Amino acid sequence: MRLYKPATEAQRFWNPYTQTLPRAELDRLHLRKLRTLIAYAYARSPMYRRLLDRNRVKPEQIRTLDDFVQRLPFIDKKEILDAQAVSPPFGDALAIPEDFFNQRFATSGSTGVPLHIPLSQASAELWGESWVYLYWAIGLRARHSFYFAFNWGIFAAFWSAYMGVRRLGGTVVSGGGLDSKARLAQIAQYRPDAIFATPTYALYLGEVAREAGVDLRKTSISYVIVAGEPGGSIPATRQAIEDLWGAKCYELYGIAEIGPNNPGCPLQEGVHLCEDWYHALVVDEQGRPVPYGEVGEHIVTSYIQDGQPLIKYRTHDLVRWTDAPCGCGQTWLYYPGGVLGRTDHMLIIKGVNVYPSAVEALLHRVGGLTEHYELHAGREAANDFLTVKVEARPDVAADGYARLAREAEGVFKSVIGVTIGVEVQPPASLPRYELKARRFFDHRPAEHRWQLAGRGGEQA
Amino acid sequence: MTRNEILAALADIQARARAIRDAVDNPTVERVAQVIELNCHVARWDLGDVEALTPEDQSR
Repeated sequence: MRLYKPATEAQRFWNPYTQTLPRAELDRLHLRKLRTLIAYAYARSPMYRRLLDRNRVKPEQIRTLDDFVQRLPFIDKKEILDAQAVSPPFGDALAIPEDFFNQRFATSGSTGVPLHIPLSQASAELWGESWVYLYWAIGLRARHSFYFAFNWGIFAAFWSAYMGVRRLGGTVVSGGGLDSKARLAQIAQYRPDAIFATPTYALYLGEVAREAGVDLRKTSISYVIVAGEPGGSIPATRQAIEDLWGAKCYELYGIAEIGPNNPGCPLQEGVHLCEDWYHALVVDEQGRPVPYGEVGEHIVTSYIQDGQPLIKYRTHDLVRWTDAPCGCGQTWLYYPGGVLGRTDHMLIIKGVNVYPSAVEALLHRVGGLTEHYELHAGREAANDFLTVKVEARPDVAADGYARLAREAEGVFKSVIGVTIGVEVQPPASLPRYELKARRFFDHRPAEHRWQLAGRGGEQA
Repeated sequence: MTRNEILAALADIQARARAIRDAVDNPTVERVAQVIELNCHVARWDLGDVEALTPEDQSR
């Protein structure tokens, strides 16, 4: 006996009804959802009532998607933080009584004050639900088991992935409270099918395994599911993880305050917007939607956050969006390459937009270099410049470093078209990170840091 | 079942769960009814039947 009937298990998608709806029907559905959400937020959240009143717009005036785009203001993290500061922790951003709280999270506050995130019972279930679209599309079912190399703290991180496994009906195996070596022992003991990790940690476990004499390719892991930082949609990084684990690597792009908004495409080259529970725009510096195929800032509306509604929320993530049919069969909006970078990490070198993810992807083209690197941005003579510090592989002799640097510089020049300096360093000379890596160091004066507008945020 | 039949059945179950929720004073039964109501709401939303953001908004 199985939890799902065989005919259901054979379905390619978790919700075949909406995941294959034509764009026009999806947009009609979005309009109904948006109008429902806006009326809800206006009635229940003092912060939203103030925001809409200030912009002289009433919920009933949003009759079309164009009204939504043109008339409703964006909201940024700073406004949520200001609303929370009125009466900490949640202030008047809150739209539900605390009786309905199911769990609360907070961001790290690395860019200032921590942002508090309330989840109701409904939003906790739906955060989980948003992961299940990924699990189902890549072939994970209730019979599979999922390993959480994660410490279950106050950060949202992989909590929602856990809620998703509960929602799917799969088996949770917790690696909380253990060091990396003990986790490897636990993986050998419990033989889970899938592991959750940041790309950085998935690769870091490889180093720990090497030291412990463990071959990750011989473990039970068939799926490495990454989130928390770009990497899963960067072919070279994904390949490095797959080679290390002898497993397929998939990603989900989420944002702490929004949830798991974009499950990865089963074809692995990008992510889809989870259109059951999120609406998105991609906008230029002036806040105008860019045409499909172009890059801009990702603006997300969540239908899940009934505790603290987020409508036209500025993520400060750069994405390229497209409505072109995807080979996987879904009609949901597709973002090839996943998150391309942060708006505030974007560089303009001699007029060319340079995304950190593009630099990472190209580094892997040079044999002899590793995934341990840092990007240092600076400014000189009215131009941004970028220097890459990257470790060589242990089998490369030190007298070969200069040749590797020249080779990498040549790759950047030929593909991106600008000069990017490369410094090759000995193995183990750069810091190691267990969760998210800090790879981008901005030495530019603040006034020269190009942004679409506004302030930075934190990724989930 | 057609989509419309499924939606009608879900709406019916949701209304019955809501009635139980309102009628009982047994915590375990009331909680079960809450969960049923929520999941019916989610299933209806997933099939494009959008009436309210939360089950509470729909029923109250």
